[in-house]
Amino acid sequence: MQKISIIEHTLLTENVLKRLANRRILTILDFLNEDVDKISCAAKITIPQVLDIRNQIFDKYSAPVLCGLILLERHLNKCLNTGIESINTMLNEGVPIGHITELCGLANSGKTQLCHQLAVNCVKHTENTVLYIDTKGDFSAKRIQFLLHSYKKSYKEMAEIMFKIKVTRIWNMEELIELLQNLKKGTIVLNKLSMIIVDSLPCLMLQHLGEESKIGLALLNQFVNYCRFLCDHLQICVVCVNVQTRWVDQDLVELEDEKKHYSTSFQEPTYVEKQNRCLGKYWQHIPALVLLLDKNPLLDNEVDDNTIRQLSLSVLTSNSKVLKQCNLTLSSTGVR
Amino acid sequence: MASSCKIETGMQLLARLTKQQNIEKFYPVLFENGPRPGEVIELYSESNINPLLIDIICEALLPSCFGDLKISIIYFNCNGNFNYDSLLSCMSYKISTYVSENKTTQNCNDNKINELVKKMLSNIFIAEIYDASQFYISIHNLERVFLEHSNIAMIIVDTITAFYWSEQAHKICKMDTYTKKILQIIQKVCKDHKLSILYTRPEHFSSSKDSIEAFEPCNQFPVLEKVNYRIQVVPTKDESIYNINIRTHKSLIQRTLYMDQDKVDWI
Repeated sequence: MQKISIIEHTLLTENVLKRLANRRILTILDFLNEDVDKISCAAKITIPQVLDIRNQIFDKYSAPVLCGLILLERHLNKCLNTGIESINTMLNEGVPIGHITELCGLANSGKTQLCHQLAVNCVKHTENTVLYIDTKGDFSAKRIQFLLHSYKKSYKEMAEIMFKIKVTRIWNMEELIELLQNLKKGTIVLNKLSMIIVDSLPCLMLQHLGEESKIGLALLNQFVNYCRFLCDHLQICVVCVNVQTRWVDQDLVELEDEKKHYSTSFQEPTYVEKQNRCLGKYWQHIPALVLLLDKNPLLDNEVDDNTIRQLSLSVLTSNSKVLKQCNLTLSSTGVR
Repeated sequence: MASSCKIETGMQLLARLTKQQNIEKFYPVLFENGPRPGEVIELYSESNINPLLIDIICEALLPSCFGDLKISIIYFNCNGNFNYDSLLSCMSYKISTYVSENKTTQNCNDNKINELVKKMLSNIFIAEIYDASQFYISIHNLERVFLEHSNIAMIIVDTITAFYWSEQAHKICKMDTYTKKILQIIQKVCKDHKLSILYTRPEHFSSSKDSIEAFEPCNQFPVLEKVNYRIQVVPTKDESIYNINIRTHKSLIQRTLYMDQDKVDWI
């Protein structure tokens, strides 16, 4: 919580702040929680003056209260075209603007490839800019160039398109939050920013795995808060890559008829495969849209020495049930 | 004194404090005759309960010409996943359904429905909250909001625990204690206005891992930090069917709900 001293008000002189500090009123919240008349006595200022300071705090720091009518105009059906027809059809036009979208899948399921493709498609025919946050160090400019080459783009066009994909390498959560903070403050400005891709979030979060202090969760919460602000104010979408983990649990299942009871019940172990989205329970409800990318190796085929991999992309519900699905192909010419 | 501060006579003050918007007998399938002014409703689940929340909001906002109560709501969007398109669809659907079920009502063409939807939307006030500081300051700012919009009868906080982790440093506050702390701040600010408070939280966000029956009992009357209705939404094996456990001070009622992304139907 911000200190009361950050408020620029003529009445909040050094002496007044000292008097407030003596009464342990140090933060804005302490100031708001305390009764007006008590603050008036403690700080030796009049009640109307205390109310004036309170009003200044509300004007500057509280969320604007908007009528539903205004929000209706702001939020109607805004999606970002992914440039991939099957995804657009499945998502009713594209990735939702103003929200966090999660792209998850097992290792080597093609998540980074799809992110590269989304970045290219998003800037290819528009003035849009994409911010690609690479946390694994495997963003490949060569891959982007290869994709553009397959679209028969000239070198000049390739350069123009690649210029609109801004890549930054981030190695920990603190750096990521600092970057978002700078975007929020406006100290970093990206013209016509339309999408932020974070590939991938677990890379940063797993550094905090097992910490008793839960600092990782605190940082993740801050990351989400900044993303939400940027999504709303810049009208962009944030795509976060998450990893799906696969666990094989040994469950003991009673095979005998439940009606019969034996002194020693006969049990046989069965193995159940469980697939979980990484990043824990807090994260589970954060994305507005969860996309699961899966590969179908049995359907892969080869055409002219070029392996064409078959992928499926599903929309998951909050209970991890598949709501909708579409098929994609991954080849040297990209994801389609 | 700041210009936004209203000066009023004792009579005006009395009128403001006593003329409360009545939301009793609102959404009877969940609240029967309630909720009464000042009561607190906790809505929690491990699933996405946005469609249910939208249904509750729409029921509250249905215009009085349809026989329902005319109140305003303030909605704190703390988790960012509120779907305004779904809210709009739900409003249109409810109005159309009502019109088709009550043929005696005046002619209702698309324009009339749109007009009514706009009317409903003008009764909801939304605050988009992005961090913990803004959350607390916005709660305190409610004092001023109520002066401007005196017909607000319910405050909805979705989700009350959205900033919990960002506030935890090396010493971690218990989840239940945190929820109570926020509730207490809201109740203190709203006490003169006797608003009903509805908040949501994820099911896992609780210090107690016990079932609903083992939770702290609900209170009969509005009391600081206490809940009057505890509503749990439990997914079943059937994808769109949910069991609803409604806990009050006197009973635990169970109901079944069909809920998908666009529709809510009580079975």
